[in-house]
Amino acid sequence: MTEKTTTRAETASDKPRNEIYYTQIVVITAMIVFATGFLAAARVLVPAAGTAAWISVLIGGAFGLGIAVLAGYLAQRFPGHSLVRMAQRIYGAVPGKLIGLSFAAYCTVVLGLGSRESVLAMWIAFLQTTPPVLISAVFYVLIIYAAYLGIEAIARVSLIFFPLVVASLLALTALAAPVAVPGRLLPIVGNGLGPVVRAGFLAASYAGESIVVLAIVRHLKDKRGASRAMATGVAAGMVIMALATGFGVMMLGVRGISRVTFPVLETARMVGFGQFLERAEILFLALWFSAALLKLAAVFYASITSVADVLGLRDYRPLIIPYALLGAALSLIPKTVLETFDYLDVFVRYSVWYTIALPVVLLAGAVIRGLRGGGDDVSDRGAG
Amino acid sequence: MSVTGARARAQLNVAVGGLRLGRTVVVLVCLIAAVSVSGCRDAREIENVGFVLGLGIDETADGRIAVWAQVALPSAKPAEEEKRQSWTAGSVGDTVWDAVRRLSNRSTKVLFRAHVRALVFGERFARGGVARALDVLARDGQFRYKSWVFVTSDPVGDVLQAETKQSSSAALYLDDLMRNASRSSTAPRSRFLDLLTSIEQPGDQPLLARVSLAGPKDSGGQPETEPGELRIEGSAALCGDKMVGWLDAEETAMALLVCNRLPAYSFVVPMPGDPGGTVGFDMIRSHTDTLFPEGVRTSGQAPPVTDVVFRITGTVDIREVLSSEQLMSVQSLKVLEDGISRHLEAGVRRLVEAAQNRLGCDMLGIGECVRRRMPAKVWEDDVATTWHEQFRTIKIVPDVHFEVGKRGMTMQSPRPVD
Repeated sequence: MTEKTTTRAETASDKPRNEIYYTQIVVITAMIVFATGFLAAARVLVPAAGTAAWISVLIGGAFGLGIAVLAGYLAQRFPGHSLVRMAQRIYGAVPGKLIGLSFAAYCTVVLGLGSRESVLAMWIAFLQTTPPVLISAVFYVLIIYAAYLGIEAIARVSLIFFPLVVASLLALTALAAPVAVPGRLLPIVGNGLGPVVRAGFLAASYAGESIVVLAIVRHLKDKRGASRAMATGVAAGMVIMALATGFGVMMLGVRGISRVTFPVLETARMVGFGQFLERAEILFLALWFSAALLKLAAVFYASITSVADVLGLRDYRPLIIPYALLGAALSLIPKTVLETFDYLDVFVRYSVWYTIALPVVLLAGAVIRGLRGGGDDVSDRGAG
Repeated sequence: MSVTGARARAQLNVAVGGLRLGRTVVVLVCLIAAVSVSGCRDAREIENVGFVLGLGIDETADGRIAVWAQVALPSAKPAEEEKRQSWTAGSVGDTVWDAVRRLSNRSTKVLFRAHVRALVFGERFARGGVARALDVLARDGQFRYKSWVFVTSDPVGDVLQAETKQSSSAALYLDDLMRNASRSSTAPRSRFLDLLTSIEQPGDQPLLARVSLAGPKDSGGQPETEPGELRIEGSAALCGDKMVGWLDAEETAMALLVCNRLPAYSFVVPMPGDPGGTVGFDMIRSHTDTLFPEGVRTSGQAPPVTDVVFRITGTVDIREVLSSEQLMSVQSLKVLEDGISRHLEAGVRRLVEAAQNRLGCDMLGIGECVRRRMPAKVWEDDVATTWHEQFRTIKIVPDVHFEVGKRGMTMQSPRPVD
């Protein structure tokens, strides 16, 4: 029996580490970029850029590509390193841990706001009589389960859902065409070049969320493709967001978009096919919320593995429950929709600078000190 | 077996047991949560749901708001076919929401507004401002933005209670009529979404379809529709959210023509050169370019436009010729095309006259064309606020060129030998 137990233990420890592939990184990055933000991005960007909000999304995407490429180079320079480990190697133990904590805090804010936004969208539009705490609880139960299974499981499920989500958006585009008025996108420069570029910075904060992948990319099998994978994911995510914003403006107009709570939901409510496919938005929303769930699971995983690295834990799993409680509690801080959107506005306005600074500071430090090389991390040893 | 082995086995059993218990708890929690989230906790049986098909809103003589709801009463068995298929009830309140609330209190079913097909405004309410109804409907997660919107000068309750032989309820009949409205295009296909977006744009004011009970009598004194039936023809012109007047069927068609929203249109013109002769047409294609010969000034100081030309081109098919002139020469066709163009041009001129002088608001979409050509800030700050006044002073010239397309399966009318 002892021998049997020993064999079982050996098998568990010999399981391969979470390993993900190029396409999975592309898909996870794209989902992180658009999955929660696109629900209300148009409402934030249209007042700033006017009819050119969709162009501002593409400008934001260009900024995001820069961020993703820098982050990708960083990952390629330190293959197999987590973000905390990279920071520790470049700047030493304590500053490295502080950088790791700041990254974990950023991920936690993304998690809290993203989950709150998704829960509100479900609650306001569909589940009016269900307490939002309960919807939030279900979200977090699923996130916990996904985090427990590890990044490989999240990546695999993302790969299944991403084509469905893209197909649903293409279907929405096709169904929306008869209701859309392309002339509403004119004047093409909207509120002017300056406001459009400023709105581009706001949009860049969505693209900048791709830095979350820094905590995941070490699992990429072929590290040489990290930069390209992240950039492709950002491009895909921002094109989806630009499409959603553009169609929102074409259907609701600038004033309409600025007025509604969740522009994409309103867009989905207006489409239908003949008289037999009415109220089809629930089909779209089921897919979109699955995408949001997968994004939040990836962000949650990034948070807890970073915290585990900072604390020097061998396994991140003991942190799952406490961190989920923290995330759920944070997501309930904004009491009203208005408060949630205020927090979102602040986040969108300022978080872009953090997402630019993090890879720049780490990459600059690594280049100046001439550091590079492989390594291993402890926090996901138990995963697999 | 050693004591150590037994202890290890016991620990393993405890661990496996704990794992199973944990999994069971997680599965149970997920199931309970899923049941709660899906709404099973407070589910409503379909028999207790009242599917509202039509909503009517009007203003009473003393300034209160009257609301009507037409609710479907589906019957499960053929034996119940004689039963009423819809129920229409009304209530009065201080606001639209207040009236809806009172109506809900009187209903034995939960009123479900996700299937509203027709929203009918009374003329008095429309003239007082439809924005009073837009807020409550736009906030409503159930209400469909694709619902048709009508205005009527008849009692709204009577319109919703009109019995039609073709549909089970007035709201469904109106829905069917609007879906087929493209055949005649004498009323705009006005949806709630169009109303929402256009009242916010001074350069693209809404036209709402007009619904009325039993049409006007024709020259022989016979009603064109069955008594009590509904007729959709013409439109109500709104300036902002307030109705400013009616457009007849031809004016409505011309308005749709200049806004490029005319999918099809049928009309009859006198045959040129043959007094008493007529030709009937189907307009199968049309396109309007709104041109600004002197450009659009974007400084914000001077009026942005002073002259507008509607260049309208299109094709018509001949459907009927009642004339001795059989159009067998190129020259006669040319004369006919000129006649059609002059006929439509006169129609557009009448519309422009009505829009600029009688109604005083831009339902021709000129402002929208101007908005697209100037910086958003200039439009919002300097032009939009005074657009209605500027619109009245613009010189608008229609320039219509139509050509004749197909002439049908016969080249000439069958006629007896003289």
